[in-house]
Amino acid sequence: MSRRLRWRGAIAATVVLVLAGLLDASPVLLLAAIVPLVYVAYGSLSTVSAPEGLAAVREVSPTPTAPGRPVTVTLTVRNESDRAVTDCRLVDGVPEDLAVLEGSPRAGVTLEPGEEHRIEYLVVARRGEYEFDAPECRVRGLGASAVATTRLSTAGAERLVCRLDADAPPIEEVGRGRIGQLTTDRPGEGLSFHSVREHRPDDPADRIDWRHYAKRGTLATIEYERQVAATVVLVVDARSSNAVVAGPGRPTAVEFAAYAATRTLTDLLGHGHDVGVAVIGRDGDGPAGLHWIEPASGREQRTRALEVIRSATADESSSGRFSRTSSRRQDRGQLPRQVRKVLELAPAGAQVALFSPVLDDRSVTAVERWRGGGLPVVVLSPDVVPGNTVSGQYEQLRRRTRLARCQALGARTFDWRRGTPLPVLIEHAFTADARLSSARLSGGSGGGGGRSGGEAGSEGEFGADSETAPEPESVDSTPSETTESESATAKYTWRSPADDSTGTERDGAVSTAGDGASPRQGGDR
Amino acid sequence: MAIAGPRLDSPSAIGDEGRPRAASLWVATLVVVAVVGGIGIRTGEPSLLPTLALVAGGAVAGVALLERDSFARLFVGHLLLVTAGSALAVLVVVGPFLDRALFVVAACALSLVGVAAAWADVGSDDVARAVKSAAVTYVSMVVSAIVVAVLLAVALIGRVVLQWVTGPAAPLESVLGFLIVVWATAAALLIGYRQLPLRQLTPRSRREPLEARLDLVHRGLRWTLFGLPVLGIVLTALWTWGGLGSGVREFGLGALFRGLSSPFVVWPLVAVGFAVALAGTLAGAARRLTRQISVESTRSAVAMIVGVAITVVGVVWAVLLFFGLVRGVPRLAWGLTTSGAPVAALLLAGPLALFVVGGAAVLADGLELLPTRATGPAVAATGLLFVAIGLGGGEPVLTFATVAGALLVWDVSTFGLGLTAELGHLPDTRRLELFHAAVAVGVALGAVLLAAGLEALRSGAFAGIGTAGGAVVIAFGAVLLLVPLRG
Repeated sequence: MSRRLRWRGAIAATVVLVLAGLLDASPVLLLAAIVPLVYVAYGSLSTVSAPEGLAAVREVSPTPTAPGRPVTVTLTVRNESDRAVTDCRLVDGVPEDLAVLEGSPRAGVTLEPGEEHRIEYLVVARRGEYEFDAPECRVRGLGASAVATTRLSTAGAERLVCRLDADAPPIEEVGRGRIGQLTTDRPGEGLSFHSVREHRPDDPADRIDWRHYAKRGTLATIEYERQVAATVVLVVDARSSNAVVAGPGRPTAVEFAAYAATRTLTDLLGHGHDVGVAVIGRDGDGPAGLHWIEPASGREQRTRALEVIRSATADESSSGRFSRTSSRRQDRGQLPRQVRKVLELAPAGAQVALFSPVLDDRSVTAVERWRGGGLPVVVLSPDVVPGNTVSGQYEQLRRRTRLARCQALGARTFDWRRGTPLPVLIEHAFTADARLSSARLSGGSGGGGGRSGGEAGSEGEFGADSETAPEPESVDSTPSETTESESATAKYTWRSPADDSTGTERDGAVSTAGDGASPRQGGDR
Repeated sequence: MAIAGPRLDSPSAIGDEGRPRAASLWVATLVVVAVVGGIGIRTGEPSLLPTLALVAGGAVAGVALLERDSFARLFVGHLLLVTAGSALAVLVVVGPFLDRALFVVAACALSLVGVAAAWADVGSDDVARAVKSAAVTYVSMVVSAIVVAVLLAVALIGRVVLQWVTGPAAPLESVLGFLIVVWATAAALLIGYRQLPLRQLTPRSRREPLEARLDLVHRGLRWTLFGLPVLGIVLTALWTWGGLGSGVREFGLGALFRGLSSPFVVWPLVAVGFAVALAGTLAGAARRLTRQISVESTRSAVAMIVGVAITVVGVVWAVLLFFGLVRGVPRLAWGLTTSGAPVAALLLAGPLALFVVGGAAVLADGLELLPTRATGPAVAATGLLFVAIGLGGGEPVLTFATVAGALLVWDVSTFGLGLTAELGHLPDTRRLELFHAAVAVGVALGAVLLAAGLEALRSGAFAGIGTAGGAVVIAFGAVLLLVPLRG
């Protein structure tokens, strides 16, 4: 137990009253000097002991969780003793790296025997595991001078776990592990009937149309709507200059980018696409210092890719908002090499998905280079720029200008603003685009036409039929004439088999993706 | 004041750490209001509380508003500071020396100021800033009054000079008067040339020809300014010794020379010069006021503007009084005198008292006589203590209750401050505060009962043998008891 000096003023008042009483020859003032002394005695005589009957239970929900998600922490303190605690002040041991988003982890209460008090607050999750300290409890006596401080032993959750793949289900749970989920207008392997053609000797026997043979006596082969797989290279911009935060204790832009890449990876692999991953801005052991993994599909690919994506956020600094670190010079030399290397390593027919906050022109330069190399590019940009300051608004303006420049370069750009559900954004960004990827290659850019090999070969074949590549080509070839929302809506509307008129009403949903609307995409999604 | 540990939720409490939690502050406020109101009712002055509260609230609001950065709030803040702040300072500084009743009133005002300062989170830094701003306002008021007086003198002298110039005079005097008017007009034009934004207001396409013309005008004005005195001297010399006077008389040019100083020539020149000088001065003043836009410069500018505004009001008041006296409107003159004289005296003497009070507060803070984080509660409690001292022995129970009120204010306020420091402003701590306040009120009632019982014993059972010396012994014995109590 310790004591706080609260009554030095009372002693001074006593002295003043005594002096005034003597000067004024007033016995009443002299007697009045007793009043402060009563307070001094009241403060000095009150005692307190460390609380032993207080029990604390902490709940953290949800955990594990994804970066940027609000996590509710509830601390319930119960007085299990038979004495009232008249002045109990509680401070929960929030990890220093986490920011309290709403509510307060502190409380000041009086607790009757058997009474409990709940402290509820929200923290913003960041990647990693964060252990809560035991809540600090400070009790005071009636005079508020005697103080005893202790830490309560806590039952329940003790840590918050935040993983990039926290809300991305394993591929098995999706139950669509089959390669080639995209149905095309071209005949080939698949499930849906497409047409009947003349039989060739090398056609498989299970595709012979026996009914046709019974009617006409000639062999015919059934064609199905062909299913293909897209090839996507996810590029995470993990430069340390992007390790900026929207506020203290918030996830960095790189964490958000890695999280979005993780969700996209799981989503695309679950639909049977080939996915590769590249991390730029870091010193990796791959070519040109990249963290790199070749496009492939399957469970093992997911495991390997997750490791690569995690490397993007390893040991990153979250020093402050918009702190341009000393890596600028490093960016100037290393980044162009890595961007060129991504262009070289990307298979024919692949598209590039860049996950970057686009806080400088180098991201735009990378997009420009990839588009110049003929790769379709999707830019998914997490927004970490605060809008409540003049400098933040200025930075936001510059960032959106860069996004518009990416759009003008032919990249599909998506601004992932706070509060926007990421799955909705990914669905818009990749479903329609994956369908278009091979058609793009054959149409405007044609960068992958000459390449061959593996899945890319089938992609090239599919995309080589440029006569059947319809509207999106025209949209994509004149990107500067349309806004992001307009172009995205147009692409989506073209691919929506359900309702052609939905394009207009979904403008807002596609451009801002902030209302949680998830328009039906047709096909397997 | 001990702080529990690192703040985790500080963004919600930035700039508000110095204010106790609301429930505690409400209890302290009610105590102060009850004591001051009770004294007012007891002494037959029920308007004491609202009057003092208005003045104290206005003064504290003025100090608090000086922390803002918008022009309007700063203007109102300075105005409140110079008026209500001055009145309060005069009461606090002068009142105790005049009368015991005024001593109590001043102490009541001090306690109300303390509570208001606690609500507004006004500390010694704010008081220092207020004293500085009040000094700027005061100096500005005095300087602008001097400037107005000088301008009036210049206007009067100019009027006399112009009357002399335009009146009947000899040819040489007319010429010299004309030269003086031209020289003054040229000087006014030169001011306008330097201050008026002629280039900036001219379209870019016509700036070069304009600048060429302005250069020509500038050269002409400089030649005029330097040449006219020489010309005047030469003319005078020639007129006196060179025979110029006789030549003029011989050729009958006297009327022509006298025509130079006719009102038709002089007044247009004077009007042009006055208008250009006035426009140039206003443009230069506006440019200076808007040159550096920062909170500090805005605050200084507003302080000066308030000083000038008060001077303008004073000039209007003086002009009305002058016309009331000249035109023989005794009611107007009487009304202006009775209402304006005290205000003028307050505005002239009040800021000086304000410097004394503010300086004392800053000095007390520097000497650590006032707790930095609890300045408001300390002032409120001190005020109530002085109220009790002012009451003396006339009303024993009221005196004891006032002292207990002072301790109660200090207790609940510092308790609320400790809560703010440890927990911030987000958690709901009302129940905890009210519980502590109830305990503190109980202790206060017990202390009053104890003191009242002792007083009853002293004045009743021991009336014959009880002396002040005995009470002193009791008090010192109680002080000695504190040593073991403190541990």
